[in-house]
Amino acid sequence: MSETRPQAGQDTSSSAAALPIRITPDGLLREMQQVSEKLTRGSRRLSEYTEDQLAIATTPKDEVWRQDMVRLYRYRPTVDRPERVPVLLAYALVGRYQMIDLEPERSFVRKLLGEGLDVYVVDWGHPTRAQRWLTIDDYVSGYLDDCVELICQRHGVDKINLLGVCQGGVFTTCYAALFPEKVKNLVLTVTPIDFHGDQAEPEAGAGAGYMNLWARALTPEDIDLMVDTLGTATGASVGFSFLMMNPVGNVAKYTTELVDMLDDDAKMLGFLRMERWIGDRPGHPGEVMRQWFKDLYQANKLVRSELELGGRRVDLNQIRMPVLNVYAQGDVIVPTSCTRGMQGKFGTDDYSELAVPGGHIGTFVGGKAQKVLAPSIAKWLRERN
Amino acid sequence: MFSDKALEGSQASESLYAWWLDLIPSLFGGSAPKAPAPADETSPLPFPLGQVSQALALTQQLLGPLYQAYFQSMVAHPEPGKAFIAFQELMQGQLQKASEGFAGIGQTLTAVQDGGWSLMRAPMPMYGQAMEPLSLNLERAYGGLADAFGLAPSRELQAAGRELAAAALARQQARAEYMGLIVGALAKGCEGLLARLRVMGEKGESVDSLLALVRVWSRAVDEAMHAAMQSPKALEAAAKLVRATTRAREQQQRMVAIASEALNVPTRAEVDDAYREIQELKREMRRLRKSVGLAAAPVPAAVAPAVAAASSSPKGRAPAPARSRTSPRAPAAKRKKTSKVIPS
Repeated sequence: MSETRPQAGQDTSSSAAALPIRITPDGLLREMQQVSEKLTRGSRRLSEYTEDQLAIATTPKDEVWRQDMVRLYRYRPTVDRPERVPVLLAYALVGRYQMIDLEPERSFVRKLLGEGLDVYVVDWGHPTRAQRWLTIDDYVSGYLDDCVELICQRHGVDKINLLGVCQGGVFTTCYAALFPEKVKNLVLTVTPIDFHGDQAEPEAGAGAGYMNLWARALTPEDIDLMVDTLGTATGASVGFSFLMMNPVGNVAKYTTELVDMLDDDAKMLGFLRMERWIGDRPGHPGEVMRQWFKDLYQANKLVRSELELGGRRVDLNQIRMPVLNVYAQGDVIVPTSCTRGMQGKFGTDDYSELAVPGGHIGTFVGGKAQKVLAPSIAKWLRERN
Repeated sequence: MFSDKALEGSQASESLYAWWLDLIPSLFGGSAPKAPAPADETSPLPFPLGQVSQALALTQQLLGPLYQAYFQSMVAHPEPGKAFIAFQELMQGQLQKASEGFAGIGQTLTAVQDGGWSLMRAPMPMYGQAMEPLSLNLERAYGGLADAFGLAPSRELQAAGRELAAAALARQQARAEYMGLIVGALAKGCEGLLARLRVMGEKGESVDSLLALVRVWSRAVDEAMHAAMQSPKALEAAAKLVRATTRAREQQQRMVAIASEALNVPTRAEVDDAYREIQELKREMRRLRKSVGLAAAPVPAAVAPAVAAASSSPKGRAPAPARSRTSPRAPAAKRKKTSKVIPS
């Protein structure tokens, strides 16, 4: 692009005249005045919002189990006779589960309930330093298995449906491979399975797959040192890594994009609720982080069925139940090349894929994706329940 | 019913917001405005209203000089295109200066080990730096004698301090190198802006306001930034930064460990060992529990009534059927334990 920049001393008259800049002094002064007034109005409006207006995850639910910092909730069904086989939703550890129920108008959970599903969600909570030794196996064979057992018991069934999101999708994949007898159907959403998929098929979108590149740029010793000195990574440090994945976008978000939405109450509230979710970033247990980066990002053991949890191999061929794999077309956090095209990697004959518009988070809160996601998942499950 | 109003992690995130909102203006040579105080001091603004208010004040602070600079360019160059070029060169010049500044810091840091006090704010690296010449001489002359008098911890502390100083310096250098790349990418984005504007012109589109121009600029910079960050050079710099940061943290922890041991206070490693033992015991308990078919821990009594009420269903739904006795898994008698505390 450097050839487009006029060199010092070069006559820029012709190139300058060709630029589509139509800013006039009068227009500039008027704009400055308007923006200033808008910012003042926006500041005033911000001070008027109440706690209730900012509340997220408001869909009624009840706590049915807890252990350490982990909670299991059951959402209150909204139909008279929900589907007999319930769905357990597992979110990632790097964010809180509230993303699936950000606000009433953009709630993935409400839509699933509306489709007649019986939905449970596991809240991984906020791990502290005391939880630094938790491994992926503790999550999968421990907390997740306890949740599944409990739900089976409550509903008098032998197996349930699992729905995993991102890292939670990796956990449910491992679970389905280790405990296939307890999983009726497996739904994966924006879940990385082939962590090196981006090498074979580099992503085109700006910033796509940065986490993959970053993780591979480190040595295994770097990861060890990071985990040994951090213990449990704080929520702020996890948030920092996401912030730095898109520095310019995050500057724009808190400046120009903010100005654009100041006069739009609905947009502003949506923004504030999203910030509230982002701000509630949990810490990440060190040992999970070690396995996540070394075994998955670096050694890509999951897709090769080489990952070991608690001394047992996670063999994807054991996943013989139906699998629905949902990926976001514009996902830059989990590149689509790492998640789609997994047919043949699992042992199942019933494998389906669903592409939804939008990005990683947009899958659950974006307007277009919302129209597709919950109805498609519900239909797919109904056909197999 | 569970309420999600209490956001446990938001407190920790406040520091991240503060850091980020402070970083944005510093890239442009300014400083962030303070977060506005709530009207009623006794009831703080709900999260994240304070942080977003601060971002608004920051936006005002950034846009003000931008409007002024653009207006001055327009006064000097009445033709809009030329005014833009002059403005753009001014901006690019500032970014270039910042970029050189960061790169310069990286180069200078290695040469300031004797007197770079202003660059070292953390007290422990400063301690290590200050003690280095003295402690080295003392070590050579009286090391063995000091050990005999039980002064080993203080000598160890001094040695660790020296290593921390070196690690902190390496971290500063790695940070400066990384920031240099980031700011360099910002400058490159300005070049991309011209290309984007030409494409817009060819399509018959125009830019009628400064905010619209900033948006186009931001998209161009975004593209340049991602390209730069994904380059092998930047990935190497990022890895170097991680390495340097964790090594500095390791040295800090070592100093704290030496001091803790000297004062007979449990060290981080000892506490971690205790945590590990607890975790292993929990695993063992889980294995035993599962081997005898016991269900998971119950919901505490305080929560259980809500579960019971909820399970009676808002629409009079029939309770979940009991598990079949012929179920191949845990014996029914064992399962009763859980169903007592978690009624369906």
